Amino acid sequence: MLRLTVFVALLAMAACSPSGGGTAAPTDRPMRIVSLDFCADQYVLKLADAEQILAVSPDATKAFSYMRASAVGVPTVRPKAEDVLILKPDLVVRSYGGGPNATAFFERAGIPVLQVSWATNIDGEEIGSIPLLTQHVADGLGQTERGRALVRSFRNRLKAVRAGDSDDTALYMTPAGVTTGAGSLVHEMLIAAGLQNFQDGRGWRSLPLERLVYEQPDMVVAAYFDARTNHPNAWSAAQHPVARQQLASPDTVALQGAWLACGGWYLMDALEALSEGTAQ
Amino acid sequence: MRQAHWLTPGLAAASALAIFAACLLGSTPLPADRILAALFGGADTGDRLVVWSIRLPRALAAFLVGAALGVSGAALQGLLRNPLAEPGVLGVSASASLAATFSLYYGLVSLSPWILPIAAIIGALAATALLAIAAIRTSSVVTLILIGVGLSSFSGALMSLLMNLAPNPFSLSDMINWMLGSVANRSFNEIGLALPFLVAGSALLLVTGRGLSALTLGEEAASGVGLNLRHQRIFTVLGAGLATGASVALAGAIGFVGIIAPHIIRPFVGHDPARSLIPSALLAGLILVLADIGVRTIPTDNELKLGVVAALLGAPIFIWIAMQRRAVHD
Repeated sequence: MLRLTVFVALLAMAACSPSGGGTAAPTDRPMRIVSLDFCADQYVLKLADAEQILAVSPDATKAFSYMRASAVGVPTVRPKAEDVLILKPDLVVRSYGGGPNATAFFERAGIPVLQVSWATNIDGEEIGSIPLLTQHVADGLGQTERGRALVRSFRNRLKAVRAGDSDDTALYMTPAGVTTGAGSLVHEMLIAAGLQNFQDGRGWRSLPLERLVYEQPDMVVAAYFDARTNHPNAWSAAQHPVARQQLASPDTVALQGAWLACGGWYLMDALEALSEGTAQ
Repeated sequence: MRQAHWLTPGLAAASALAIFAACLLGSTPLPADRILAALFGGADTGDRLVVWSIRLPRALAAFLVGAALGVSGAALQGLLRNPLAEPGVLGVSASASLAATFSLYYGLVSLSPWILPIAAIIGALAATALLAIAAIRTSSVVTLILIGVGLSSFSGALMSLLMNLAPNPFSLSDMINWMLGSVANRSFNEIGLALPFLVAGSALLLVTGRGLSALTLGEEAASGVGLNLRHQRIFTVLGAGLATGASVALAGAIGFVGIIAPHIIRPFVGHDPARSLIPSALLAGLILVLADIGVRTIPTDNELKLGVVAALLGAPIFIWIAMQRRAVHD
């Protein structure tokens, strides 16, 4: 389920414009908020007051949802147009929920939509950095001050992580034997944690099996291995005896799926785990 | 009836050459002399690992899968006396992939590494047994092929059901791989698990192959010259089921190679099914090794699946063979 959501999120984000556009006026606080997917849920649960929230998505309490503890007891709604409309929300928050036409649909129905964009970098200047994204959503929820506080704490923690730079190489891998090079948030995360990415090709790709014969990464970053539904592909390079042997010896840092899915301020937990792993 | 004497040794040599060529390819550029050194135990440990643990198993897997499908195709064509019979067309590969996927989906594979090949073989045997029962009841080969097509569609439908219920896109892609067929990242571990079944099935087909020659005379005439039809059917079905199931366990469903190879071989062996078995196995193995080299050299973003390329080449040839037949018989 976790991977499904991430996958759908990726698809949905590819279809949406990266800038999105919050239409809610930050001055008068929305009081009937409905969140359509678990990426949006994280921000709503973190930043909005409980009495502002009408419903979150059914995935909000799942193991891969970082804010799952806060989601307990909050009503849920499936991201179906009629189910949402009947709640009469005054703000719909979404990243991919409801499909690519959802924003246009709800706006036609007179309901403002706050788009949660996909994070593309840790703390850069360009759109898609986690602090900018956080502040954008906080403003849309009418919680500007809470957003500023969250961004401040994110940047402080980031400074602490950056203090311990190392030149170790790290190979990111998932149970399906997928790794990633430059051009992904995971790559940015490794760099921000002061590591060098072992994978030198761009984008998502399978493990570099032949290269692993000659070189070993200093650290293996094992992500999503906590997800129960994530069984490895029978043809995955991770199943190959060479990969198993070469990846058994380096230090392994396990990252929880909930830290990585969607990529928000909670990615900091992953960064801190990496930083600790490097320090050891 | 003439037989080209160069055929079997020629194909064997070409296959060996193709497997060596496949060892030259990979993400790490290795010159031929280093590959040769690594193959014969010289060179450094890294090169030896790359050649012996990564490249050679992949090429061998392609060859073995092709050989199993080729020999099964040739034997089934002899038994059913129809050049369109083949594990893929008859739904044997699809049933085997379904059973393999089923065992993966419900986590049975965690019990023992043998579960996967055994599940694939049970799937293959179930389909071939059904075909054999149908073959006893009907004399029409067209009906048989249609039953095979039905079996294939039914397995496809059940497979779609499993995919529909897939918990996430990664197990979905895992299932799709079984339908597409691939020898990527195969190691001697997987080959070792499939090989006993593959060898047993192929051996059974080769040992009982002589009866297939008698069958070319027609079933009555074959019984007349002392062929036990029932035994012949059972052994051929069992052999083809074992070999096909093992090939599916190793690489998923790869279609059409079991039609093309025997079709090319037949004129060279005087249309004798028994003598077409070994050359068909060698040629089908060679075709898949070459197709896998193609898969690895075509510069697409995602590596193409071997089964996709085999079907892209094989399906038009299948249609062509079917049309040729119509021209001759009707």
